[in-house]
Amino acid sequence: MKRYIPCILAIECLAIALAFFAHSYGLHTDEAKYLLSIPYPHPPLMRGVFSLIDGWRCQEIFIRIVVSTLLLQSSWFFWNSAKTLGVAKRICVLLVWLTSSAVLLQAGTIMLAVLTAIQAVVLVWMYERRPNVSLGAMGLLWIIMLFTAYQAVLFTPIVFAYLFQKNKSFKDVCLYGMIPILLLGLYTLTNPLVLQSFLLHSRSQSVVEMSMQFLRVILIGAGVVGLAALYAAIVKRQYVYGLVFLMLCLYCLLKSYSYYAILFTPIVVILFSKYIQILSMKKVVALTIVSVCSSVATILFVGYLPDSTTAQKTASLISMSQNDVVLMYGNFGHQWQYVLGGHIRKYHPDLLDIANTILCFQPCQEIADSAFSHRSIGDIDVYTKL
Amino acid sequence: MNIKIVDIGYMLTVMVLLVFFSYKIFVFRYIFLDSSVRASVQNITKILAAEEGFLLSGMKIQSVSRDEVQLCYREYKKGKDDRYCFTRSL
Repeated sequence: MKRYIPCILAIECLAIALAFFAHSYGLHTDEAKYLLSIPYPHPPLMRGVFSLIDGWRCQEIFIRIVVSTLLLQSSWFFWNSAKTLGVAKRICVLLVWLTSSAVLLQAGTIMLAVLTAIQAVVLVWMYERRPNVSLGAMGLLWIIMLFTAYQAVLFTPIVFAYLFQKNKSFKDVCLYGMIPILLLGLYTLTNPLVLQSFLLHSRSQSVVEMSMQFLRVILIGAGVVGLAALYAAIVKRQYVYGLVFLMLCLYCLLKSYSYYAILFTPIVVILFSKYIQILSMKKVVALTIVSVCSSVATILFVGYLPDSTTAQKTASLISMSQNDVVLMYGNFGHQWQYVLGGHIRKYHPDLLDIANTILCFQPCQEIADSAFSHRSIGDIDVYTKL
Repeated sequence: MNIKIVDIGYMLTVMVLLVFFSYKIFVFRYIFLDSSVRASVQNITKILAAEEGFLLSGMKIQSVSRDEVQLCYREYKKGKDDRYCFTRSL
């Protein structure tokens, strides 16, 4: 164990650095949604845990460091899964995971896709070590995954393959595989607004836009190693991982958000570890170097972390108390709820009497009330009660 | 048969969730069974949100009967969230 400590510490330093790197880009609307546990569209398990400490001043950076640490330290599951390989090849597997562009770009982000990826690493490890893993442990992990985020269903083939191969029993597949999905369905029925929010958040994109976005997701999530992984899925007959990869591709074609890139990475890395079993050490090193270089190139040329510091900057320029009513005019993200505090309301003319501040994200000429003073902060018009 | 603690933990988790969600579905049964109740609830939710300036993401249906619906609004923010509940006739 002692010989691993310097390596664990080095990974931890990288995790903390990546958390601060993501923090410098500001709080994204989805991140604020999970930190405050705003209930749509995903189930409540992990966002509920995050919100337990939403009174903390340093909640955001603390959660960033925790998520980043879990993602990077999960590399030890790959280390254990690849036990049959020599130490040098296992180091290459670790490097491919730690330097993949999705891990480096998304490690410090507070997104449920990252948590699903961490859980997928554990799932893959359980599948690889199936003789030693009990059905209950797999069932519990499956429930945790499903109640973290809906996209976990994309990993169903691994769960079902584990359950079927464990005892070759259809009963186990139903009891440990299907019932958690049924429970997720029941949860969705008990939250009618979740279904509505799915429709609200479906975007209309052109075929070209969708294709470009899909390529971007594949490049960040799978990269060059993805090709080796696909080859391994066929040659090494890893059809379960191949099916998950295909399902992820189909899902990302339909809902091509950049942050889904990391869902590919656990599958790609485990397939990479299968592929290098048959390669000489020289070829493995060459492939690892290509992987690291392509990750760096992807981060430099395709990297996607959007700047979302406007809310923090604006909030620091507005003096308001926690009892103030703030009216918001136009479209705005949940990060405003996080940084402003106070009572946030959507603009309605009848609420002008109780409002202390009005933030206009679109031109709002109808506020000609002399009771408010006007100033502009960036693209935002701010009206403050005199 | 070798039953481990995690297997018992899994079974207990499933039972608790099943009972909880079944109860919630029973509470919301009129939304699923009666299309006029469903439409009215949707309408009242939108009107209430617009009048009070509430964000739809904070709205929650607390309970529904054939005659009335109880809607709650939770003001999500750092620290303690404020909650407001309203009962409206259908």
